[in-house]
Amino acid sequence: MSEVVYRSEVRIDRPGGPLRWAHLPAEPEPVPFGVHSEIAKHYGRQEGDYEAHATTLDYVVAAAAG
Amino acid sequence: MAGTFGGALEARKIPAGDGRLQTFAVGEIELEGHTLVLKRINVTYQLTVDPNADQSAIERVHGFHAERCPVARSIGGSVAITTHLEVAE
Repeated sequence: MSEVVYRSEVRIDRPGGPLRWAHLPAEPEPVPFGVHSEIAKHYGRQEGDYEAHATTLDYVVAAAAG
Repeated sequence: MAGTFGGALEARKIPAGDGRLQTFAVGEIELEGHTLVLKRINVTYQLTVDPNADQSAIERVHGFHAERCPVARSIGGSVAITTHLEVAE
């Protein structure tokens, strides 16, 4: 195993339901994770009963693209 | 991970919202040649439960939740993901 050159430390708060807040390095404000559109439907969420936010998969796509 | 774990607990009537489930993760990055590569993610859950909580159900959910997490399933073949659970009353 090579030497670890950086450790990314994050914290996730979960108020409840699909919403989570991710506390990330170098970011003063947490970022939300949630559900929307087809992802919300997959988890059985009805429109209006959740606050739409980017999903964790959206963030993975963004991370790969960025 | 936390979303999947928390949701699975709540589906079994084990409260996991309102601060009961705290999740801490450390991603370890190594240098491969000149490229930084995420090699592993270690996730620690701290779950606060009621005294009469079903501990076996909690352990069972902890045991399988990763395979039902979309991100863990998406990247787990390349990034080693491990979880650790601490339960407190």
